[in-house]
Amino acid sequence: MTPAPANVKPDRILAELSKLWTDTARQDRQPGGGVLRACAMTLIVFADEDNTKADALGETLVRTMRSHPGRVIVVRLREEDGTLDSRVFQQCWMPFGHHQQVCCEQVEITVSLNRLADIPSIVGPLAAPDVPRVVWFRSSRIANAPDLTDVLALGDKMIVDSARPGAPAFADLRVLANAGCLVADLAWTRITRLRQLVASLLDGRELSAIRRTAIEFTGADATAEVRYLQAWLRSVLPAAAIDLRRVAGDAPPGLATIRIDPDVSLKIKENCAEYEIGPLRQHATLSERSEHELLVEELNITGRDSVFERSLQRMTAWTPRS
Amino acid sequence: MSSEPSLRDPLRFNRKTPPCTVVIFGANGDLTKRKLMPALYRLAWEGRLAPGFAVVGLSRTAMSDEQFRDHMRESVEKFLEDSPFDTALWNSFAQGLFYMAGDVGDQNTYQRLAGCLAEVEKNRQTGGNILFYLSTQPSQYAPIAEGIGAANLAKPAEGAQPGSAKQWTRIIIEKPFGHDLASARELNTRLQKVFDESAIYRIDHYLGKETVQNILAFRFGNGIFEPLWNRRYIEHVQITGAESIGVEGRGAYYQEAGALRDMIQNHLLQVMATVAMEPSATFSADAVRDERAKLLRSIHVMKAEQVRENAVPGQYGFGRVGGEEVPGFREEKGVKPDSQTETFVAATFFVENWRWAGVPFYIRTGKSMPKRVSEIAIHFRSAPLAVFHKEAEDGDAATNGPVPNLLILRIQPEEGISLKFNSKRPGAGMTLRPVSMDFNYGSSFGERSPSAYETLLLDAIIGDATLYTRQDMVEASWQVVQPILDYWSTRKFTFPNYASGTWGPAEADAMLARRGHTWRRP
Repeated sequence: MTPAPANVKPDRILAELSKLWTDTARQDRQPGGGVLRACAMTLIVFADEDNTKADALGETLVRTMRSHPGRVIVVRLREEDGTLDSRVFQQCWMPFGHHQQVCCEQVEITVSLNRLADIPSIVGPLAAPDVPRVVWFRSSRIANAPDLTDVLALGDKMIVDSARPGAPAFADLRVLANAGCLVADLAWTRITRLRQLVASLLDGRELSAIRRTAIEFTGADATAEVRYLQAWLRSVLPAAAIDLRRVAGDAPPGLATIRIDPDVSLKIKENCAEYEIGPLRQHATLSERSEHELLVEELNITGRDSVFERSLQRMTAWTPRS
Repeated sequence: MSSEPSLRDPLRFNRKTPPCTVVIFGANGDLTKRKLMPALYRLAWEGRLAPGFAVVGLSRTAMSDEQFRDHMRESVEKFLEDSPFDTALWNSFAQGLFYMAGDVGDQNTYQRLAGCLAEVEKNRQTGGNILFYLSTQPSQYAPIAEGIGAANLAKPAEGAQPGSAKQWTRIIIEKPFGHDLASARELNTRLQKVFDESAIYRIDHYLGKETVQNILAFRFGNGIFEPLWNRRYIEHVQITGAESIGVEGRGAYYQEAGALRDMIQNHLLQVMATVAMEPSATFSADAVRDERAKLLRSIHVMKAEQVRENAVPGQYGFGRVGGEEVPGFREEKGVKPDSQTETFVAATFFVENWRWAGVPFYIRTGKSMPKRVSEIAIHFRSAPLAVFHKEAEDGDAATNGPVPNLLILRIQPEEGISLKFNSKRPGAGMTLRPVSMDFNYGSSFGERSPSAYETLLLDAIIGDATLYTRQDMVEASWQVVQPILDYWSTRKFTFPNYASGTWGPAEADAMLARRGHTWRRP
């Protein structure tokens, strides 16, 4: 294997980061000004190198940094062999009415799949000390990597999105969770508000008396979100049969209705739910949540998530579509 | 791990709220339109209200349910902050809004209200839970509570009624809680004849502010500050609650109240109690309130001669605020031309306990000041040895010597925390300069902070009284301000004594100067 080029050596990257801060502070010398360096975590993102989507990830990261400031290390995976390169920069913003910028630092490393094994020894030393390390897999290419053991060891928590192509199978997530790894799935995060709504409708009821629940979905196959909802209902309604039914139509894949005996039903619409409980008919907002909002919810949870883990254990065998 | 199935997901779900009906007395008033209804709508938008949640508005104005809903919609659209207005959600939320015209002085009103509530309970499945919100003149609090009681609408405190352990009835009142110690006691007695103390929620919206709550998290969630939080390391504390506006149409009310009653007796003494209280054993409502109450009872009650030295009244005159000319208080509508009402107060309080003995707590509040700001400034003592003094003697003594550390807890307008400390200026020589570490709640870290009314309404529905004041706290704070009220009532002041747009009368500066301190300019 060719040695890593000098510009990806951790010491060099750290020196560049240090210089970046000095330069930024020098530019802003007004009284009461300067920059505030904020670091509450290290976020390591594995993403595909794809110029057309780079901005979407960049925007997600900038927004996320405002609530979870930290050092971001983006590892961009490309197909071509032999690539290994890096650059450092800052994401800064001036809070309204303030004199002081808040800045977070970002390291971007571009690597080809066949050099992925070099990444842990580069990224490991770059992580900020004493704060949590989170690894977010946003890449479809990484599914083709031969061995991710060392990459997984980079983080205290691993975030995937089963709704994205190339996401690991639920069985693999289960294996990781059972091995003690903190695992999160943005497909699960997407249904938090829906789960909360269902929970509020069932509040005060004897859960073990509920015998039948039906989930209807649109599309060719049940999405990851539909499967997670089914698994969660299995975990909270132990006596109920949780039927999953596909409904015909041209609607995009997703949830259509939920019926919980005897008198609760929800119709899922775009950004909202119409529900009936007894004589009441109500409306609830279920706005589509941005990737940033999903990520923030997961970053807020730094320990074990037993509700997710219990649901993960109840997922039926299913392989996401590639 | 429990094997019992549960719908709870405390890591992700918001706190669960029980179904209930909120009855708003004074439903056609400003507070309902500007604060209460936008806060309730926002809670609905976040999915935090139970499905059958209902509001019954009550005031004298004749209105149908539909007209009430239309008025409330206008208000929500106008006063909703940082939130989108969703027509479909509003239509659903509005199904739970009802209105009843009535005179709160007429017992028949309460009988009709009972009928209305029974119907709402049946149709909306509110479980019989009722939260009364008294958004009315303070003089009506006791009569309304008695009307509720006479109509048998105030059930015993939670869990006390056989067969309906989950059913509850609570009442929220807004400050002022009396206009002096005697009237506060009388109000409490009359309220408690109808409601158990645990069901009386005395709202102080200052306590609902994120930063005021964050004082508890800051003090008791971090190990590094609490050891410094005492007379050994803290020289003095300044608490400021300044407003840039005058009385703005509230002249008649304000003339009767004054700054001492309007701000210090409630908001600022509560803030002081939060800053200075001992850690509670748990975070339960009563444990926290016990400590706050204990602190309030520890504040030295001044004698008349001490009032003269430690309390300064002020009244604004003509001046300029934000580049605009503003009239003096006595020129405001509804204010007597010779009014003796104070629009500014600066006072020095001492806490008589081991932690704080000898540490002055300077509190000031005023209207028509240069800017709107509420903050707490903790002034730490200087380093015990001035090792950098020699460098200072060489030249820039006044500017380059170390300044005492300062911790600022900002309540509004930008909720946050700043810590000022000294750092070496880069280059040759040991020259120090103060630098600041800032944490800003809203704008720096992008999260929307719930409004104080959202927090407090939610807490009342859930039954968490931590941020509400209790009878003993109200009476303890009246004990503190009563001697000042009594002394001032015997004096005739030369008002106005500060110009609008300034930080108050010179006597307020002199009060601090006597102890070698100066007011911080926020």
